[in-house]
Amino acid sequence: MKLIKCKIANIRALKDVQIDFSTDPNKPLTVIRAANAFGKTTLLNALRWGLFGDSGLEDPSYRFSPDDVKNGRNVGSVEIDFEVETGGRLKKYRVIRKKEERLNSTGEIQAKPSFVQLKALRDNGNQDIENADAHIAPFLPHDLKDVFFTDGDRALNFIEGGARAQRDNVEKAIRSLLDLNIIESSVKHISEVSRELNTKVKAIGGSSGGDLADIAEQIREYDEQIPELETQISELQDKLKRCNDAWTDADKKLQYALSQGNKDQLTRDLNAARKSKEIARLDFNKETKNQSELFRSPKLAVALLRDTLASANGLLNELHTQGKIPNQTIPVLIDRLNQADCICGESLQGGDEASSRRRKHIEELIDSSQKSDEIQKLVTDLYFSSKTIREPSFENSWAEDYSEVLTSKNSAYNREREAGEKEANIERQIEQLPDLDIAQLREKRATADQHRTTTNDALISFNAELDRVKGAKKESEAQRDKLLAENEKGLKFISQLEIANDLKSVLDGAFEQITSTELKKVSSEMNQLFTRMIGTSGSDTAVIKEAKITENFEIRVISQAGNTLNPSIDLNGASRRALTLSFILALTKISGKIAPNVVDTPLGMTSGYVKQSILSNICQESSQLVLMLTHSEIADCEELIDKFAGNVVTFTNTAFYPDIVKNPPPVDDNRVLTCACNHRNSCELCEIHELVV
Amino acid sequence: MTIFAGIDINLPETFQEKLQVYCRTSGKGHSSLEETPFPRMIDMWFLSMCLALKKGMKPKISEKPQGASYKAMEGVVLGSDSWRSDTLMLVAIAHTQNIEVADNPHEMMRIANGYAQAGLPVLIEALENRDGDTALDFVSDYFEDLAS
Repeated sequence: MKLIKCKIANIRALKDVQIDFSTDPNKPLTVIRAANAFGKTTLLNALRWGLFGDSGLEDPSYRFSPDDVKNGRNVGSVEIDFEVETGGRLKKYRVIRKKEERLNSTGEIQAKPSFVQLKALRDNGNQDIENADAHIAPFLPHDLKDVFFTDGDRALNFIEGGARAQRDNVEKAIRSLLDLNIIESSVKHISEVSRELNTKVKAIGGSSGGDLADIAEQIREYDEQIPELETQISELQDKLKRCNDAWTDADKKLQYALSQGNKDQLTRDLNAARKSKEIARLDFNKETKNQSELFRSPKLAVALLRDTLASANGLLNELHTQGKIPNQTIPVLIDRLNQADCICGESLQGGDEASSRRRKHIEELIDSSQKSDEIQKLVTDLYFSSKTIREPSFENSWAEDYSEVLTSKNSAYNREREAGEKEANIERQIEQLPDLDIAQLREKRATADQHRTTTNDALISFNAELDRVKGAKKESEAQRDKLLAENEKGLKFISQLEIANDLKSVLDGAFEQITSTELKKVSSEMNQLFTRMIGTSGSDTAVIKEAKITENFEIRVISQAGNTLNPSIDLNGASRRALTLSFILALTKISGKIAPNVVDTPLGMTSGYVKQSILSNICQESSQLVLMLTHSEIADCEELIDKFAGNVVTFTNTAFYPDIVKNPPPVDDNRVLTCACNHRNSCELCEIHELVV
Repeated sequence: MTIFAGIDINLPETFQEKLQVYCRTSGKGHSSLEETPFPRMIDMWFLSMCLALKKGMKPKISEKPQGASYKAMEGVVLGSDSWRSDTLMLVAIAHTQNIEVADNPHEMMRIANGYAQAGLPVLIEALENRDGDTALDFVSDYFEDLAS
């Protein structure tokens, strides 16, 4: 399917707009150049509404002209011409959709039901086609409206938001584009045919014998049980997915909470840090005191008074050498007086005159020495008590003691500083800590885990029962076929049943093939496009290694280290756009469907290489591409637009004169006007002010 | 008991304020140990004496006191560290080159105090002109350099 042209009237600012789309396969691109709020999103909504009806609008309460309707009534309309190739022939159609909005008596806007008409445009006259939406659906399945008609932000729904919503969006798109739903309904239909045939067999059995009727009844029962079991299994699988999502969600929150910090643990760490700081402060004070006490150390005095003490020491040593230190004179003399003989050998106690004279002489010596002895006594005492100062033999010098104290003090200071920094850091963490209850989150995860286990157990049990019933049915069918072969009427049913079974096998195989092989193809194509767009296809060192779609329809991005990255968190804006556009294009390509890709602001948040690479790749991969681009998105992509664009249309919203629109518009009301200016030029109508910063 | 017990250590009043600032026992200095490096006034006085001797300064000894003075300490405080009494005696002996001075505690104290008064202004000036360093670290480094 390709869009040929569209005509839009009275839908918001698009009062009267016509656009011709490029259908040239060599120039598949049509560019709508428009600044922000110049009508791009309205155009996207109008196209979606025109092709998909009211359900194509994201918001059912979307009003076409909330301002103009106040003047009475408003009829919004969209006419879209498109062509489709069927049976090797191109057929052209025009879909016309209109909707009237009126103000009711209470002043509220009321919309009448949409009117839709589909016409086949033929050379020999136009033909109305009934059930317009049903006719369009095969070319543009409703489920794919977000794939083919999207904007850069909406497309992110495939990789952002809740895990289940992401998976559902991806699954819905894949199922629709790969026609899985059609195959599933066909399988269901064939099963129904088999059941009807079996009912007829039962009627034969009733007339020809009890065994065949009993077996047919058994098969009927199995046929009833199997879909019931399959439904229950499907529900359990869904439940298991939900449980897994719930567990993942709880685990993610828990991991986040733990990464932010466990409040209890942080409080304990804070107290420990404060205690360490306090101890370090006490140690610091103690070492400071020790440092101060060093000023009372004799070692410092000795070091400072080395010369002075040496001088005094010289005098004292001289006295010592002279025998005046120690002072022994008087004690020796007194001692002699108590002895019988003098030092010279003469008697001191003979009672004779000579003895008396000698005693007297000694007593006089004692008296005369008394005064100088006082000094010598002091000096003697000093000589002995000051020995440690005069002739020091300290193990460590004062400088060494000081160095030791300084080392301990610095160590205490550093410990206090580190503990203080740790304390401040933990306090900050606690302040920033979200109000998360770790225990509650653990409980939630444990509950989810329990539910998961219970559901998985039930799933195993139901699957076993399904296998058993299917096996029993197969045995019954073999018995039935054997009995039918013995019955003339039954032979006809055998061939019909065989055809039904063969068809079912073929469809089952096709379904299996699509869900495995085709899904892998989409995954591989998406990866190639994505890595090409972001410029990592040939790199072994880039952070991103690959992107893939899992069997559970989840889009995953894998890092070089093998870790799974969360696209909505770990990818930048440009890579997220590239990933979603890659998914859309890969899905379109593998499905073999020819349909337009209409994308509003696809290059937002991108720049440089990635921006050009995205544009280049989507132009090459799409059969028809309509891009609504702002001037800044166009910047640096002019050459690519030259190459791929078959048509460029510029939108100008007169409501923005004179702030953005430079020249007075040729109309009095607010509306979007179009001109044929392309991405490289502008006219009096579309010229806009450049923002000067 | 020290032979200097009963002898007052008098200093010019100009030193009074700074002795109180840098000595903890004065109770009038900074509350931080870092800014009151000397545990007692006798420590600052004693090290000032050592400083003067180390630098080869002449003691400020005069018959008549210059300007107003006050009783900064009592000699009895030297008794708590007996080596200090001995050091004072040795300083006096070295100064006079006569051991007889050992019998004259007042003279010995006069000599020691003379050196202390010579050293105190130097130490105080250094402390007052320190940059961002704490008084304790500054004095420690000052004496470490002096002693090396």
